[in-house]
Amino acid sequence: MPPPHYDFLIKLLLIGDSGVGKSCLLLRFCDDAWTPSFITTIGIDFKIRTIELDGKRIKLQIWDTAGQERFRTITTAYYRGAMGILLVYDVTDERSFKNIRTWHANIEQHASEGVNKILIGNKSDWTDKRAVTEEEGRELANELGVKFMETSAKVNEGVEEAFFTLARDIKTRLIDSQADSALPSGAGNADSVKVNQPAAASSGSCCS
Amino acid sequence: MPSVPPPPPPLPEPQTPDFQTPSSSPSRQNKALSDTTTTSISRSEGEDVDSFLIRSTYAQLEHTGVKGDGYEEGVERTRARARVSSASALRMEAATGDPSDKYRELDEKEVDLLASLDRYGFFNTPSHDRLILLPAAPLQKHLSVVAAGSPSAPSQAQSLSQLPTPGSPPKETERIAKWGRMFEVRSRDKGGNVATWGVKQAKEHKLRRRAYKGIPDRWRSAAWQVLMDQFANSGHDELTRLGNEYREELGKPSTYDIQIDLDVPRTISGHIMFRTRYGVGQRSLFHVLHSFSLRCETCGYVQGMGPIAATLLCYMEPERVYAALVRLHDAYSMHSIFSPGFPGLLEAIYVQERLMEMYMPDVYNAFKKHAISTTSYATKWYITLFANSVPFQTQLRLWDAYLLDGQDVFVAVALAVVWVYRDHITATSANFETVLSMLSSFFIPESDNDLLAWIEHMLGDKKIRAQITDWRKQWRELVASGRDRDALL
Repeated sequence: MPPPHYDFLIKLLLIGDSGVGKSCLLLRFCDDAWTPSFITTIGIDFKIRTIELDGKRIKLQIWDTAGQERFRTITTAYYRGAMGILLVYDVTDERSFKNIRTWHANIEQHASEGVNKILIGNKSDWTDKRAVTEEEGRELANELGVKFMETSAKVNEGVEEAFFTLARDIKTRLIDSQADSALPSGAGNADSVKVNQPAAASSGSCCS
Repeated sequence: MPSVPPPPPPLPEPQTPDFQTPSSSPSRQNKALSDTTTTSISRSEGEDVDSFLIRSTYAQLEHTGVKGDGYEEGVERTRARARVSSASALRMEAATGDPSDKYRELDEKEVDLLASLDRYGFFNTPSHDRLILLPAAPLQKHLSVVAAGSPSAPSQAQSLSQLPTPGSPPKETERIAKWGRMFEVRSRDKGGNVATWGVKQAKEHKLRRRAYKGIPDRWRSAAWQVLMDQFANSGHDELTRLGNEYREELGKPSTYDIQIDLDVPRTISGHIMFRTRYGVGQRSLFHVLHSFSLRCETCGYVQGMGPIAATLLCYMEPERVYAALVRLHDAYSMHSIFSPGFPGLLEAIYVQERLMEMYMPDVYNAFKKHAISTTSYATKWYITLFANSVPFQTQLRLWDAYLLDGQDVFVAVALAVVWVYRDHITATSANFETVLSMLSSFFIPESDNDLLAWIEHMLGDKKIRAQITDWRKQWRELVASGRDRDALL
């Protein structure tokens, strides 16, 4: 097998109500494209993008899920392998914001302990239809103890930052803190930082 | 005062039209005689305010139509209901259909746009899917037990940059005549138009072969109806009954209306009929899905019904589409596909896995090795009946076979895909990502005919069909005894 063209693999998961723009965020982040004519995601899909963080090549494997509740029997199986989760709502749709608590409870139930999370309020460009203020978003994020960011996949605002922020948090938690464990690059990291680490994550490798 | 419940939210004023007295405009009242509008719309007890707004908006626009239907994007009316600014209220008003619009000449831009559509009504829009070629060569060999191909085979399939433009099959004219001779009129409506067709008894034996060769598009509407009548063993009376049921249900609220409204504008929106927000296609799609969501309490509405209904709407009136969905649900086992937990999906996947294990053991082991579960790529195949994974013209060919032969067809299609790419899957350089992204792609068959011929041959093999039936039974036993959990990849 040829050597991987990356130092680390990070698995991310996008969840949130149907129609909040999960697939559009993914398309923007991975292909730098936007389409008004998107189709509903049935089941599960994924895309890849390799980024550079602190001189390391990090491959992001990002899973996109169907938002309709019926599909949770299929999508929850993907929670466990995720190292980071983007909880997405639509700032023009209050319902999707209210449901974030349910999605968060799902994470608690199905995802790995200590998984990194970020709350995303998408469609921030749609000002005349806004129903959830930035402040309300931030408050909820604080309450849930997660980071927060507003994005617009359409006009490409905040998308890079959102994914990079989450990736960086994961790198800090899983990679920098266990620099000597059996990771693809093997080499220890000079900038190894340990931040509020829950017992150095039981999942030894991040490339399972 | 904690004991006092909060007052119910007020109905948003500008968006709750009274449908008992739709409009004073005479031309609009004429339109009120059409099917859907004979049902009066009023908010039902306990109906969610937003749901009612959605239902009433579609009903209102059924009276008036929308401007630029088919040409323009249209204006959003049902999302972000909470606050409607005066500016957006004006935009909505301006986008409402004007009766005189129907009588004017098309302008040059509109004519050009119409001319640019393909034969099925699709715009030439760029695709954001991963497009890959489904080569014809592997399909020349029938399904049989095979070992892994060369370990140095590439792990990736050939990618393509754009969708092919559908052409007319070479023998289409000839086939149109043949189908014309094969069919006979079974019933006519009051105006003398054909209501139902049937197959002449003397030509029955030709039906299967011809359906697999591809139903001429001009006959597709009639032929699908005939195939479904045969499969469901019902006919004209049933269609009439279901038509009435469809209209009755339009007047009832559905808890799925919000979800349906969310999905309607993102369902085959590259097609002229479904392009414009609240245009005729989107309205029909909403109405059909709304009524169908009330049909089966267990299934309700599931994402995936949308592309199926939209495909049918390209060939039938809404009430016939409703009837078709009922047949798919009742006779073609879609009930178990759509039910919570998707039991029919898991059953199909179990059968697919048994077939892979038996005929392509190395491929099966590769899936095992890379820990690729079949649900991760095949869920959308079975739930949308391949509506989002192959070009429209290929999908139609698959459906020609499906409506004739039933649910085993999609197991065969799934197996054909795996069969074609088997050497990529077993390649040494293959891994979780290469395999999964290949199988999650949009497949463009080099030859629809070869694909269909492969499927026809596989399903024509009585031994294989019997195996499939056995495995379906076996799966149900596993489920009944609680041993299904570990039975899938």
